[in-house]
Amino acid sequence: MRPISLLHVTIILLIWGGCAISIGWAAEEPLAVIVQAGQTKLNLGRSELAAIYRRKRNYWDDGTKIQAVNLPVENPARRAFSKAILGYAPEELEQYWNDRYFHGVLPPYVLSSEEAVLRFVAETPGAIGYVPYCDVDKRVSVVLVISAKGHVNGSATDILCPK
Amino acid sequence: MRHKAFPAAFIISVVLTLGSGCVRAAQPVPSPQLERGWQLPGTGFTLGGYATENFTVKKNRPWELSTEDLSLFIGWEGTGKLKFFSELSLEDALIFRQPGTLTTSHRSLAFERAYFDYAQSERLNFRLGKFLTPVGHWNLIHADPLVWTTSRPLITNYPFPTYATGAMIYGTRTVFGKELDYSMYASSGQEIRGNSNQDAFDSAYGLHLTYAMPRSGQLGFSYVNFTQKSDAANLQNLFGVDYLWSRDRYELSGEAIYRVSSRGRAWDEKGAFVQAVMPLSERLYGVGRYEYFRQAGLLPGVSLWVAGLAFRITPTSVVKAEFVHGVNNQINAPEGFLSSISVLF
Repeated sequence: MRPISLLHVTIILLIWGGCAISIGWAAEEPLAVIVQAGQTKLNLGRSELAAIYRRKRNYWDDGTKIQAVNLPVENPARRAFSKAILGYAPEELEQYWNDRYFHGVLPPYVLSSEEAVLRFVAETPGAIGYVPYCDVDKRVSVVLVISAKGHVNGSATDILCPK
Repeated sequence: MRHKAFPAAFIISVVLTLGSGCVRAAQPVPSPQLERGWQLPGTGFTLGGYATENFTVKKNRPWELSTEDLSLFIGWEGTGKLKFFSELSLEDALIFRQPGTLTTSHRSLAFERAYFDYAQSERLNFRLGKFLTPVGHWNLIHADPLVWTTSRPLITNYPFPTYATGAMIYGTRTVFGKELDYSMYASSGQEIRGNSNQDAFDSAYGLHLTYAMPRSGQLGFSYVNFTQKSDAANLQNLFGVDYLWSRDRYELSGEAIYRVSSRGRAWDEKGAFVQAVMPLSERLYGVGRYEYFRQAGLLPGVSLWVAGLAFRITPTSVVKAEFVHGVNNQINAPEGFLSSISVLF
């Protein structure tokens, strides 16, 4: 049996690194729930967030309409968010959304990328979305952090983002 | 009914035309990937619906191929708190029957729903118009693409009119850490282009509660006090419970009702069904159901056994086939082979 050479290790690391870059989100990275910059006085927890993303809650306390946005179903961040907050993978919610659609309720908008979510939330009053924590910039405010294990916190600590 | 429908449609058109001007065109509009319905950009309108084609070989009847349902949804939602939803349904539009006759004479066009909603908050919403009667779970999601069988349990539409026209308040509250959906409604019996096959409410007052249970279940309770057009002197009180549990593509559901009549016990109606669904492969499901129903009158109660398959072509389209076997079926509930293909769009 031939020993694993430095070249093999390098190739494996490159492939692994390429995969991590291509999905845009590492499984151990938390998710940030974001709203328009400056809107931090929102009373949000897991159940409120679930009600928003199941479109049971549609208005903020000041009467502004909530505009929730999702990432595409195949996006790992969407899947992690769905399981952590709604308790189901996106495809398990198809029946729920069929039922709601029958009553005229549409699921949250789906935007194609994390950057699209950041832009939409930054420019739209009442908007709320989620992106990998290290994608957050000054255009938006973080109102909740969802850890890789699905725990919901008001803020993030000990998270080092690559510069 | 036709003369009443025109003013209602006119008022709806005017309100929607005025309301659509309130949609903030300047607001950034995302490029959504819609999973259901077609949104008309910048207007707040959504169009959608569902269609069902049936093929049945019922006991002691010729086989039949029919366009069972063609429903069109029109919804409108601006940036404010007012929204509108309607469902216009064309039923039995085309029937092809053994030995080869084609007929359109059974077709009927009806507004199944047409209502305005005003959302005060998620706890308190107001509804005005024609809506599905909130009794049990099945009647509220009765569209063919949403249910597992072509046949419908008798207790979900025999003991009460499935639509009501009137006013409703509804909302969601948190009780013991779980969601409680409630709706309270009243109807004075007015109809917006009703279905001639249905004995509509003459008056009705009702309540429906659904509580989210732990471990993916929900428990519902229904109550309606009502009279119907055909016999306004017969005051009826209907009590119902419903249960739904689903997890990992398995589903267990059931409903039970008891309708008490002011004319005496012989006019009471009662029944229950329990249904189980299990995945057989990625898209194929097995379905089993047992139902008991005793209609008002002197006939004995009927038992119906259903065994079937449902194949989900996509999340919004399904092919279903089932056998229905009845015991003491003196009310001629459909028995035999029933199949359908239905699409939600």
